[in-house]
Amino acid sequence: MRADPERVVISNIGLDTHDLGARLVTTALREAGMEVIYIGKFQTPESIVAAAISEDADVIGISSLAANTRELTRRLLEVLSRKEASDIAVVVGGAIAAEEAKELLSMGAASVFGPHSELDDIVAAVRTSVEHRRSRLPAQRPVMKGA
Amino acid sequence: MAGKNVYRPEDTNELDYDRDLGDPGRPPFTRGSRDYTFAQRPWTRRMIVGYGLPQDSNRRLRRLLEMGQDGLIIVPDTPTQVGMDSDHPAAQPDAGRMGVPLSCVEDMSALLDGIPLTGLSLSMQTATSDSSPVGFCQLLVAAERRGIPWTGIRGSLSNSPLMRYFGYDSSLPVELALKVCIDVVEFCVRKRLRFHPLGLGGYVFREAGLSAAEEVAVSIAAGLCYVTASLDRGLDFESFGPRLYNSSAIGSDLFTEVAKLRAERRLWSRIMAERFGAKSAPLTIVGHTSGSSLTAKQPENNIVRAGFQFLAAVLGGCTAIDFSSYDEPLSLPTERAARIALNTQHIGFHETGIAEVADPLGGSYYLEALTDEVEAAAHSVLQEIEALGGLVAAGEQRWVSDLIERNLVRREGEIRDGSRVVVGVNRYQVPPEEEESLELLRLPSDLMERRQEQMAELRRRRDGSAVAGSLAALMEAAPLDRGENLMPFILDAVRAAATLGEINGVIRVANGETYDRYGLTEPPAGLSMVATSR
Repeated sequence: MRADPERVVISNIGLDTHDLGARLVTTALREAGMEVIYIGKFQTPESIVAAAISEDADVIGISSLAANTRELTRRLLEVLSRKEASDIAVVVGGAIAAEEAKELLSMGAASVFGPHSELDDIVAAVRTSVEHRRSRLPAQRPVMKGA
Repeated sequence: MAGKNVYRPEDTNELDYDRDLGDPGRPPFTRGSRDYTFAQRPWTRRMIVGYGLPQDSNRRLRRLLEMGQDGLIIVPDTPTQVGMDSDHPAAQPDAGRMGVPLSCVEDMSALLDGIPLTGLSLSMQTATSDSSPVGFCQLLVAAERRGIPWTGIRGSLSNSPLMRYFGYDSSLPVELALKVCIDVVEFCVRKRLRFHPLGLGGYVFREAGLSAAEEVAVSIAAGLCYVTASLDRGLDFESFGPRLYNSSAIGSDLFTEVAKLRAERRLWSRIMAERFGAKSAPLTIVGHTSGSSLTAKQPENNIVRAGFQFLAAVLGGCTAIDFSSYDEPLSLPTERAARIALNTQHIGFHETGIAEVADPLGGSYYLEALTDEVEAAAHSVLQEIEALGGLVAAGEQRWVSDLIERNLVRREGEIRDGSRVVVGVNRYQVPPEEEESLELLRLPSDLMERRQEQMAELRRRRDGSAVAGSLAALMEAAPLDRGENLMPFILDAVRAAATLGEINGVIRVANGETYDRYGLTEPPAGLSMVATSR
């Protein structure tokens, strides 16, 4: 029997208007057979978590080019934990420098993708996150690509 | 564009010099909006600035002037662009990240501290009309405080409410946003200010994912909306029409870009004459090299890309040019990247001879045929938009977003299947370990905290009753059906140190909206939030 498709909520977090990356990732994940709920731009940590819970998402993908993912990811993870939804994996993309990527991973992001990333790697990382969540295994080893 | 290997006289058979080209500075302005060459008066060489605290951006502006920049172009941060203050809880992480925070007049004064405001043009890329009227008032009050008369400064504002359909956010309903946008136009006309009061928004349209011809069509559709609204306000076309401008994204398809700039001026001039009886409608076009054409892979290649794009901007007659720097896919421009961008312009101006003759490609069989082709394609898209009821209707009906999505999917498909070559991305790649590691612009790690301190200090120091008084007067004037030009009221509020968020909030409340879209901030003490007239 075929497993249910992976469910992913994608958004631009914060006030950054650059959404090309998030839209491309949305398209790539859909082409890979996943159910992607693209909630667009100008999303707050609260609105993203609310969408992810109501959509029963396995993974949240957030993007920002505004060099502010440290603070926004911290806030997002905090809201997830407050809503007892920390099992939802968080994948972060954007203009993220290597050392910031390390910080995001140590904060609890499942994977981080900088400007050099390949779409195939992002698809693979999201898939792994879903498998881990669904099999109730402990979180996978963090991956860091292209940062 | 349709391909022939060579173009001949018969490809331009229909061309009539006076009707279709005209001398530079003469209708239909195909050959340029000005009647002089760049050697006589250079295009404005500038680099867009905005990051960190206003003081950080001020240092960069000073450095650029030392590097030979002859105009200022400022981009406010994303919270400012949507009318939010830096200390709004949902805005704090974005303050100073992709532009300079301009929450109040103190920020504007700090940004421009020690910079001569006369004798150079000052462009404020304030995006939609959430922040443009307030940002402009901050600029006028900052000049006032330095004893500089308003007529002593010149420049341009973006003030483009219809960017909302192209990826920019707006906190004002579209009708209200258009109204305050035209308040700025009317104010500039009545006060005889030397400002281009609004830009059509071409750069933002294009970069959202349009083709060159679509950029022209959408820009003109936006312009038609603004011109009609200004005429409805009782302004004569001649008083404001020639002051409108467009900012254009200059991509890498060199001849198409040159043809686009020429076609856009011609189509604009023709439509303004046909529909509004305009005697002379030169459209000033400023060029900004395309940020979306740049790649994170082998980023130094972007220096070359921007160089070709710059050449197209000059050959197409852009009167001011700024660059997306080579490091832009990775961060905001470093000083080094900004210098390379400015030096590209200096080299072009001084060493290559491209400034000597106006419209040097005019008369080329190929370029004239291409100009016709872009104009015809743009005209057909414009008709499509008008059949939907204009750009507002096209935006509301998702025509715009569907078009952008289709273009995006096609473009990405072409990059993936290799039919569109992007050097360093799908051809001529290097292994990851050979990718250059660039020194990137680092924002201070305590930026957010320091900005919050600045805001707290501002709110502590100002006279609360003056703020409340000025905002109460604004609220009374602001309902749409009062038809009052809000600029004098916004000026008073800015003088009293009211913030952008407060001013926008009050305009919203007066028109039946909540004070804060996010429901997270309260109006300042002493201000009754009951809309006074309905």
